[in-house]
Amino acid sequence: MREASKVWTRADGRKAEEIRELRAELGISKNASGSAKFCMGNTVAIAYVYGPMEVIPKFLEQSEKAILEVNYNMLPFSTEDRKKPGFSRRGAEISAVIKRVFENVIFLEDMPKTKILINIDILNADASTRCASINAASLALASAGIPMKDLVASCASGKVGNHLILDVAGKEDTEGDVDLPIAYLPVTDEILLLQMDGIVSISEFNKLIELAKKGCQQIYEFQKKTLIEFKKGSS
Amino acid sequence: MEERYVIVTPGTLLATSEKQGDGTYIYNGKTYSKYFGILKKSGNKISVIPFQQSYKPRKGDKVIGIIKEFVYPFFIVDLLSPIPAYLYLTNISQYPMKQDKAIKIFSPGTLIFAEIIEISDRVKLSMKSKDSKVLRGGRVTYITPAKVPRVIGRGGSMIKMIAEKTKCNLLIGQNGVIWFSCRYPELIIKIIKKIDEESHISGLTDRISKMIDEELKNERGE
Repeated sequence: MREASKVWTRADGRKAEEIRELRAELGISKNASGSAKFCMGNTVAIAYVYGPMEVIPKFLEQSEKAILEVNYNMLPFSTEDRKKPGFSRRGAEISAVIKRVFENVIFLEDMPKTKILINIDILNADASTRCASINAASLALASAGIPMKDLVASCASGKVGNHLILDVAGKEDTEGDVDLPIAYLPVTDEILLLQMDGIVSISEFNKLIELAKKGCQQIYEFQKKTLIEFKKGSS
Repeated sequence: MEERYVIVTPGTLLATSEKQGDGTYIYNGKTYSKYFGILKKSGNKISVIPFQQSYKPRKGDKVIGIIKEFVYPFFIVDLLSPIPAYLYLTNISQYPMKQDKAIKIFSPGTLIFAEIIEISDRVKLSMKSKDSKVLRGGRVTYITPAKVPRVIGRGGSMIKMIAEKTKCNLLIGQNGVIWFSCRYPELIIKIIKKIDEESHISGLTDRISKMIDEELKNERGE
């Protein structure tokens, strides 16, 4: 009956330019300096931030700035088929891109000779795990008191058939034509992460970027609201 | 008047001109916040006090640290800061002291109250000033270093009030370590935790005073 209504809706009933339901929780771990859980629909990511702390081994230490370490890990039960635990090439790649995002956001030169460790666990994967990871890590870093330019918001846009969609989820990721995740820094209007698979025309690509930015703005507002409500709620 | 303080997140626009202050940065001629914390305006300055922050050593700070180990010619001291501090044998006392004796006094795990005298490639401590001492007995609790001024209060009002009411011996390090020795250790820990959580809401000293009165009544079984 969906065709009869003439308004195209997606497999999960959303409109083309609608993001999934967002949920976030802060301070979930007492041992970490800052921690956050970020849910985008069924995708659940947890980020723990430790530090700034002493650099071990010593030769990695940099005298003029802090170093950053990011570990992205998908838990074995996060996917439909059990994922083999341990090192994976995909995990190493995502850790590296997330590290590059936050190297541009954190004032590393404020904390020389130290190290900041970000551990990210994916509890449930339903597309856009790297986006959820960046959103969770951003909240965790802010609550850990790490100096940052701004909160980073991340969101994916994509193409299914002839439709351009925002916040790719579920089968749209595996069966869709294009998936384009970005990480966006609102204060400087910079894109810190841009990856894409699939083929699109340049005009469509520009539209997808604009669409993803729109989603990032919504996520950014939600992140700010979460942080302020957390502090007001705790007191 | 309950919520006088404004909570800001990183990247919040604070001023459309270049303003000085701690916890802020300037981009394109505008001032933005660096931290998730409380906004504080005084005169032409805008500062952001973060809710949580690790200790950054500054010259002249009086700090409480724990002796980790002795590696000739210094003791390595943990200040709850990312970088360890060093207490050289030449700085342990106003008077010359033999190494054997010093090692006995400054055994690993000993708490010391010392002053930071140098921050170059290393953070160096000194025990030469009059109020520096080795802390025996008592217990320690922790608070975010940015909130140490709140524990002390305006002109020392908060700390005096806590010490008088609970009849405690309190010593506060700029690094957020608080040493105390008294009859009600659990109460002191509770007070410090309350200050840490509610430092951004005005009327803190009155609320703490009320809380101590109530808790002391319970302790005495009245």
